[in-house]
Amino acid sequence: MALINGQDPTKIMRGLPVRIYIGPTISTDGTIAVATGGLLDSAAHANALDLGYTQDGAEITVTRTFEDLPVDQRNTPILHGLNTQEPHLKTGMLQVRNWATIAKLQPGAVLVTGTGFIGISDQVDQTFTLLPVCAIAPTPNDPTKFQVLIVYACYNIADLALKLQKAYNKTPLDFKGQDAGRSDGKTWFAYETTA
Amino acid sequence: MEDKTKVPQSNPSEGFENAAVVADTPQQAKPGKPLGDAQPVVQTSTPEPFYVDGNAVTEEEWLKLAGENGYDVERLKEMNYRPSISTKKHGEK
Repeated sequence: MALINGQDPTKIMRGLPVRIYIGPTISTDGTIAVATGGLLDSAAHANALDLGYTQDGAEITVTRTFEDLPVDQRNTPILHGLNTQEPHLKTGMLQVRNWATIAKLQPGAVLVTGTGFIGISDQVDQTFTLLPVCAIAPTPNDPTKFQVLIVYACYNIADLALKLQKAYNKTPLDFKGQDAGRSDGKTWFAYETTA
Repeated sequence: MEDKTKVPQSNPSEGFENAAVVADTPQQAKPGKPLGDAQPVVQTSTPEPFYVDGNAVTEEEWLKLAGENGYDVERLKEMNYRPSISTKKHGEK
């Protein structure tokens, strides 16, 4: 007789150090090619940007709505279905004075430069660009393997918060996933590498 | 080589009145207009470059390769979404 035992502390999710990127190159199977240390190669990921220092990690949440079918003949629903999913990737950005980067992250903001200054200001129409966003961290027990969280096509819905005070500023980012135009229908992916 | 991301300014001493909004796509950068009667030019649409396997390609090439690599091209056109893609799977060189 073999006893079933699934206890394994190495399977407890933990990511340190985590890096968060926008604009990574997406492989055909929906994965992201990761180089040593969880970094992305700038040639393979020509359009990617590292958000730099963040706080409180990165998390994917997927909210769902369900439909149950109640009937007269039973006390409990007899059918059930998953109606919608809404993926989000959330983090807190510290390096908001990377103005070109934060302009990409904030719908409704554009980069403004002039002689002796650089910043962001508001745009005058309703357009904005969807972004792929990912968080990458080594596995706790093997730094050559990586945990990856991806939302393929999203935009940041968190309010823009730029605060000047004694304490360091943290700007929340909440990337809301949309349909990514993928034939397989995937909008998000959480995985770890095994090879 | 001329840096097209910088918009010429007629008189830098005028400060913000000559500020220009710089697009991500250099060729779409436009000179700013003075504040006052006219609003400054604002570049709101910032299309990303089109990349396949880390190489910049034309939009037509990008759409063709996206269609061959797991994307619904018509849907991408509707969404105006052009992520950087690879033609390789995980672990392929």
